[in-house]
Parts: sequence; C-alpha cells; structure tokens
Amino acid sequence: MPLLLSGRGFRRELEAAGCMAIHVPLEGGAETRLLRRLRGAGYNTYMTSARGLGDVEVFLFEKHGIRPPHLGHQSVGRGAAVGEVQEVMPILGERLLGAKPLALWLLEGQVLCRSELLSLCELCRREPRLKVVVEMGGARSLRWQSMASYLEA
Amino acid sequence: MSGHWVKLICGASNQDLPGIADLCALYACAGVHCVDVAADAAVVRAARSGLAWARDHGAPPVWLMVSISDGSDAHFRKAQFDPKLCPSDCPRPCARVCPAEAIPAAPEFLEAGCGGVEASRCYGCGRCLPACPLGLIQASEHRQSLEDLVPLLRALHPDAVEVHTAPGRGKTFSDAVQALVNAQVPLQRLAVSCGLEGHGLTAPDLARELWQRFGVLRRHGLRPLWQLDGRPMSGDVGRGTARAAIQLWQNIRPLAPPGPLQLAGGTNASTLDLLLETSSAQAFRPAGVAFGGQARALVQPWLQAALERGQHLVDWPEGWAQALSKAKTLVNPWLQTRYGRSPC
Repeated sequence: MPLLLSGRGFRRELEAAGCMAIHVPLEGGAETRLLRRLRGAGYNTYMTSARGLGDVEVFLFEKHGIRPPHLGHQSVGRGAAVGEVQEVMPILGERLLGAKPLALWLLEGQVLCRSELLSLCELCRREPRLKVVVEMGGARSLRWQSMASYLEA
Repeated sequence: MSGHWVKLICGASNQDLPGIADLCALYACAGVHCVDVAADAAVVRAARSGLAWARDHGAPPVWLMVSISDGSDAHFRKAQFDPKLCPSDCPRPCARVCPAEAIPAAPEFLEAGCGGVEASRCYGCGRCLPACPLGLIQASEHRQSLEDLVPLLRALHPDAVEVHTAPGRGKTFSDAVQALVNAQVPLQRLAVSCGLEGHGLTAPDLARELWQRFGVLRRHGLRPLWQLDGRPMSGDVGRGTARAAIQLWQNIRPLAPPGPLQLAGGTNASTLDLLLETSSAQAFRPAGVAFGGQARALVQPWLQAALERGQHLVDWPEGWAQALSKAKTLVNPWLQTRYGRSPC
C-alpha cells in the first residue's frame, strides 16, 4: 500500500458495508495506515485479535468471565486447574461512550467460523456507530470486500 | 465529561415555576452543564425560559434533563395533610423543617385554604413526615405511566433523561427505556440514578444491578451516566451528608460498568473537600457532581425576596448579583479543579 493515500475509498466502502473482510500483505503496515486514516476522519479505532474473543458479542459488549493465562505453576486445588474466572470489562464498553464512531480491526479473523462472522455483520447492523474490519488472511496486495459478499463467495 | 461536570437538580417533583426559572438562569450563568427538572410541560417551559435568559446573557448552552422513574421512588412523592385536623396550639415543627417552604405558618394557610402543603413546591424530601407530633402528614406518590411517557417526551424534547431506578426493578427499567426509545427523542445521555439507601444492599449487589442496566442501554445504543444517589435530597442538612455519596462512589468505582460516575444525594459545598481527603482521590475522581437541595438553599433568601417584591430574580439586578456570587461559590470549585489523571 502506498504511504500517501487518503484512504477515502476504503472508508466509504467500510461505512457502506459495516463489516468488511480484508486480505493484507504479510509484512504488515496496512492496518496501522488504514486505521490512522480512519482516525483522521473522526473514528475511534481499536485493534485486537479475533483469537480468544470467545462469544464475540458478549466479549465486545458485556461484562464477561475470562480465565487468567497459565503462568507455569498452577494449583490443581481450585478453579479446575485452569485458574479462577475473572470478571472483566466489555472490550468496547468505554470506547463506544463518546460521540465518535468506532472502527474495530480484528487480526487473525480466519479463526472465526461462518456464524461468528455473520454475527459480526448483524452487530454492525444493530450498532451503526460500529465498523468492523476482519483480516481473513494474507495476500500479495491489499484487497477488501464486504463481509456479506465474502461469505457468499 | 472531564471531572468538572456539574448538574443542577431542581427536583423530580418540584413544580415551583418561578423558582425553577430563576434557579436555572442563575446556575446556568454560574456555569453548570446540565439542569435536571421534573417531567412536566409547565416545569420544562419555566426551565427553558430561565436557560434562554442565561443564554442571552452569555452563558454557554446547558443540557435540559428530565427525571422519570421506573417504580415507586421518594423523589416522586409529595407530602400532604389536612390542616383542619391540626390542633390549634401546635408549634408546627413541619413548617420549620420544610426546606422548600412549602408548609406556611398557621394563619396564612387557613386563609389561603390550600391543603396544608403547597403541592407545587414540595419535592418529596420527607422531612416533615416524622416531624409531625400527631403523624398527620402522609406522602402520596405521583408518577408518569409508561403509556403517557412517549407523548410527554415528544412534547418536552429534553437533551437527556434521568431514570430513577432501584434494585430488583430491572424489568420495569427496560420497559421504561423501551418507551424512551419509542419516543425517538435524540438523547445526549441517559442518566441512571440509583443508591443504596433504604434497599439493604451492598455495593456489589448494586454493581450487579447497574451492569444489568448497562446491558439494556447497550442494546438500544444509549450512552449511560451513572448517578450515585448517596443520601437522597439531603444536601442542605449538613456537611456530613456529603459522605454517603463519596463512600458509595468509592465502593462502586472498581465494580461499575463503563460510563461516567456522578455524585448526587447529599452533595454540598464540602463534597469536594471530603473527596480530596479520600485515599483513592489521588488517582481517580468522579466524572461530576449534581447539586440539589444545597443549590436551592444557598440562594433561597434571594428567591424569597424576589417573590416578595413580586418580580423575577433576573429582573432585580442587586439581588441577582448577590445570588450569583453565592451560586458560584458552590459551582466554581468543581469547574476549576484540575486533575492529574483522567476521571473515572
């Protein structure tokens, strides 16, 4: 991706589609450039991995339980040997409080199944201020399409 | 909301129209960001006239918030009694404790023939209920039904709405929010007012209730504002009443859902000092504060004097200047504080 582009085409397609599937060059860089341009256009942006998202809608919007990472020694006496459940904040809770729209960039979206991707589309439809970009894999050059058309193909 | 947000509470059941217009004008000029009034067409008209006056005289725009409730709530009651039952030699402690001066001294009310308590001024603080030696004073609930809410909100067109809720009323809360959404009035914020007083709950229970409210607001894409009601309607009683709201904020802060936390209920001029004494205040601050009874009590002498002169406070320059400087003593410390970290 060239360094100096307005990113307007991408933003317009994202706003029209709500949820977008994207293929990015593996050397990286495309995500931060596009997100920077979205920020310039008035978006809040947030990048996270689709791995570990659990129930997508609950993790994004509601208080949910996580188990802490396994750090070597773990007691088998409590918490089913995988640690106690910790209640944590919704990932997008604070980020949707302002008036700005929010662009969420999900890395490694290939781990999401079809129904999870459909639920992301539904989420964007219900919450018009939320736009989601899901990285579906690598490519020689940056290309994107709406999630709906990606899932049809 | 940067920690300097200040709201004026006129009272969810206060209908003293000239007083509300003057209070709104006064505190808008003193720099508050929001005024909170009863969900009543006449009251909103009075508040808007006060705010328009302030706007014309250089005050920044102020949100108009109206208060509704999803169930029975002390803020939505009024005291009443039959003055004919009063003994003729009663010292009338009820008239002394009334902060809104809604219960007149004996000779006047017999001539006026009003029903003991002047209903438009009463805002339901309940201090007269235990004051009566014969227990003659009753509280009556008056609340908007959900069916009336939609046309009412369309008519009022407020900038924000406050829903008074209580633990265990999750279902009625979501019904009330659904009615708000049906009214299709664009809201800047939806304030949720809840406290622990009288519910026999702990802070974690309250946090659980707030998370349920958060889920409801989230589903409708509404932005919350959490009003922590420490000791309802008691800011003018004394310095110590400020502690309840601060304590509630300290307990609820680590557990609360996303959204600004705002103090209310018993807040007064010493709230900020007490807040600075707390241990967690070095790192976190509430996003704002709301002043109710204390805001009124501070300027009550001038409101009363203006009433006796038969004119609005805004039309009486000397009284206005004195009342405004008094109002600023309450509001300015909040507007001026600068915090090291972003508020929570």
